[in-house]
Amino acid sequence: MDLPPPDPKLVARKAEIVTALEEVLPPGTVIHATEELVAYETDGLSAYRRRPMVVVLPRETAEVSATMETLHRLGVPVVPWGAGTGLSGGALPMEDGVTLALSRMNRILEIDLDNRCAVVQPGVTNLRITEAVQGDGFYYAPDPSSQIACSIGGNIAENSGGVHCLKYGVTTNNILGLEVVLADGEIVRVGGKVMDDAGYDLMGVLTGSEGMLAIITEATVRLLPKPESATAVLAVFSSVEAAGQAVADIIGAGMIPAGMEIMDKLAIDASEQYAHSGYPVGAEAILIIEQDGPATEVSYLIARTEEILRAAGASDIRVSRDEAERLKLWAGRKAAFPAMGRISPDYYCIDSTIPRGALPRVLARIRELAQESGLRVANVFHAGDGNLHPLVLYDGNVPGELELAEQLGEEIMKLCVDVGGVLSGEHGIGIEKSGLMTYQFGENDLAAMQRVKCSFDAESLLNPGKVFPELHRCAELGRMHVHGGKLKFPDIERF
Amino acid sequence: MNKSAVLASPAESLLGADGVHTSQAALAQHALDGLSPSVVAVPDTSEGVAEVLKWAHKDGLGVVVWGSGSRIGLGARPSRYDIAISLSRLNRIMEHDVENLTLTAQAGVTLLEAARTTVAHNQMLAAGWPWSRRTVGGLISANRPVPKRLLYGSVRDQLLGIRIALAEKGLVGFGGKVLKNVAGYDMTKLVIGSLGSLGVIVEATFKLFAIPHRETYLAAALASPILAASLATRLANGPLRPACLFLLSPLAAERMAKAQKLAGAAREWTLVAGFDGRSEAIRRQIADARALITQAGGDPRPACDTIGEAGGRCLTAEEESPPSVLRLRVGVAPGDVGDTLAYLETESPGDEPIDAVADHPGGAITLLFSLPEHPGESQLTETAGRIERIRAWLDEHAGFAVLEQAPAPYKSRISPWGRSSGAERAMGLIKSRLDPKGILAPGRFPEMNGHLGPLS
Ligand SMILES: Cc1cc2nc3c(=O)[nH]c(=O)nc-3n(C[C@H](O)[C@H](O)[C@H](O)COP(=O)(O)OP(=O)(O)OC[C@H]3O[C@@H](n4cnc5c(N)ncnc54)[C@H](O)[C@@H]3O)c2cc1C
Repeated sequence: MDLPPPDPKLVARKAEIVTALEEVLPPGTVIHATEELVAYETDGLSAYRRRPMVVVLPRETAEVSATMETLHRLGVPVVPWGAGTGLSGGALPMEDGVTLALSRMNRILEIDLDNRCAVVQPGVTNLRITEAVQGDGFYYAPDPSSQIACSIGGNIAENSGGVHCLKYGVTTNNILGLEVVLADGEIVRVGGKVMDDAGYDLMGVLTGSEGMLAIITEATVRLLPKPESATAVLAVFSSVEAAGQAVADIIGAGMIPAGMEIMDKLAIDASEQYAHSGYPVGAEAILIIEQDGPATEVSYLIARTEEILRAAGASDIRVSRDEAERLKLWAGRKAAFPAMGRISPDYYCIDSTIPRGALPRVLARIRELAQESGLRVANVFHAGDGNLHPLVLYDGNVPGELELAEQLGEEIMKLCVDVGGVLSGEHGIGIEKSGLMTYQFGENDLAAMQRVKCSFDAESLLNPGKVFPELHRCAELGRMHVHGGKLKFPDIERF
Repeated sequence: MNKSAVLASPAESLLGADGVHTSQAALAQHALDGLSPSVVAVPDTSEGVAEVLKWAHKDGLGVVVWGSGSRIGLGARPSRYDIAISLSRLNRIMEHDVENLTLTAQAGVTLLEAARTTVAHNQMLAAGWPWSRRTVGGLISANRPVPKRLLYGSVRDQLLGIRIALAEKGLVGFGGKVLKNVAGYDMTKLVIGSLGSLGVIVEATFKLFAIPHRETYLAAALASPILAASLATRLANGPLRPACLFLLSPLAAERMAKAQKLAGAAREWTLVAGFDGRSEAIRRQIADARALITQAGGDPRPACDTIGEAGGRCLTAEEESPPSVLRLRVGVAPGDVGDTLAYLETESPGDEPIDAVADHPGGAITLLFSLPEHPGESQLTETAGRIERIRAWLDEHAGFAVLEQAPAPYKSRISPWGRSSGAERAMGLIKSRLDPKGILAPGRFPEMNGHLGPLS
């Protein structure tokens, strides 16, 4: 994929931009020496890197507001950065833009158990929230595998998911309120401890907006009481398709387990070499299911789960007997991504969601596509919600392999859209999939989204070049001038 | 020629004669806050809706969309009202994907019709009571509170995809039938609670749940709303998994005991805890809940028990109230529900008992005021003053009070939303971009008016 070249006029204004920022921010907040910028060159989509022109590291909302106000005035693009673990290149910097890194805004501001929520700054890592409240019997439900590193601000910007999102929802279902800074520096609050306020659900549209609508400077997140009991089951299947059918059977029986994950042979073997969690090496597929809730409910659900798994042809079923065993059953799954590094120099993680009934069909077709391309594909995915993660293994040092991997990825994503699915379930569009948006959306759908973009950021300074194939200017003919409330050229498309 | 006659013929050319009503009866049926539309458009396809909007956009005609009409009173009096679009003929179930646990329905499908389809596979739409004649489109537009949100989430958690007709751009679709979807902006969320002011919802996809084997409710009489609320917090924060926790004022408890099947409720402050699930698990949970209640000085009584019937009609608290009633929806943090109820009780003039039903986990209190239908000036001033006082108190507690329904004379005196949230500029800009001429539900969110931007 080719990235657009930087605007030399903006690059030439670097000194002016640094000075303007330093005037409104405390010392040590603005970074612009080359060696300090290196750490921000790439996010989790590491095949692509660019050095930001400047990095700003605010500690308070007021500093974010001052930064945005200044850059808005100067017409400089801004790329928000949480922890840089995103997998679709959403935080990929711009050589003619400022990276606004929220990592120093890392305080938990309030824990309010009566209202089952916590108020946190955006740079707080996902896991820290649970760590702060687990002593009181609470937790924050969405648990991306990257939870030790990724920031809650990044989670909100991506609407991230995790293995326990099937029952408790993804990020958007677990956020109660946001404070955001708009492109021009205005600070706005939406939602909060008080729910269902009048007006549009701005929080909903800001969540998952990939840093293109506003900077998240504070979040009120929902806390859940820890379930009384949780039991995990691991079942072995003779094919990924059979495991996929078992998932459809369980959902069809009306059960919504806390988590439901599939791993295929390649993933099982790699993970076992790395994590030693006792997975059946050589098995074609495993399905891991967790049921949680009041103990009596869980024992019923587990018995019923076993019944369905058996009927679906599971050859071996293991049920965790205590917490240590439960964690061990999960350990291999959680280590699956890092384990890939052992069996392949590079991998490309795809992330599409399909209706759950289509699992067996789509998995079979992915295998065919992989065979045709000659690349290996490992499957580790959130089967319960139909969120596939085919991992295309390749070697970036072999000329043409990255392109081959990207091409296979594109075919898989198109296949998912063809069966009624979507391009991304949790990793976002970023730069990675922006070219495919027209495959999923019609022209008018995209135009409506771009109108929302223009409502928030008419100058297109927030994370430009991401998500949309090409961003129309919000007003034709440059800035929109309105005289006496009358518009020139009233019939020209404005978005 | 009167306006009805002028608008009827372009409408008929789009929808055919049976898709347009201009009889006095039809217009009166769609009257709103003292205004009548000039035509009632009743399209039977999504494309028909889009055609009507394009026409209205071109000619600058004000449009109000009708589902079942149960929450049509929400929002300020429309500033323009030429066309009522009734979705009553957009009433087809498009798909029940049993394996995927999703239902796609046109916007005019009622919850009752949806339930009839899903029950055959032991599945349910948990966004509202299954016997309700409310439409799925209305449920989304008015962002109706989900009775059992603690277990099933609210409308925003259950809605997976929508198709909407925009004023200018025609039909667009967002989301889909998958549970996880981050491709592009989450436009489905934007229309929740938008009262048809951004576009007309023509189709929606919801996630479904299995019908629980059993639904049991336990009622507990408690000495005060504070005690009832702290008990609700303990129940919600502990290991039990209640589906709902309602607090009823003595008057509301008595009303509901009479009108519904809510046994065990009497004229006392009452906490109703509902549990959905397997019989064995519920029995355990009920036993534990009883112990907690007794410990807190309450008096636990079985209230209602149903097997295999989603939403046994025990608690229709939030259903329709007669048009003569003024209904206020108060929003506070769940932890403030007890204090708020105590305040409302003491605030009530002459120690009149209050009729209040609180959904504790949602922090939502529905207050009913039975008032003279033809009030004199002093009655109007007194009621408006009282609501202003309540709003001032709520303001200090970060809460709000929305006027959901009121007889016309009251409505003209009381602001429907009561406060600005501070996000009106952003909302106004979105409205201006999606509905550039401001034809959809015009004026219903007056707080946005100053921010409607150069495009409107
Ligand atoms: C090993 C590994 C495992 C992973 N597992 C999962 C998983 O299980 N589930 C999952 O969903 N994801 C997963 N991810 C992806 C990634 O961790 C998530 O997308 C995460 O939410 C990104 O958070 P971040 O803080 O690193 O954000 P970044 O990568 O820094 O940024 C992500 C996007 O958010 C924007 N952004 C960041 N902060 C803000 C803010 N405060 N305001 C506005 N915009 C902002 C950025 O501009 C960018 O567009 C995984 C990644 C890795 C490397």
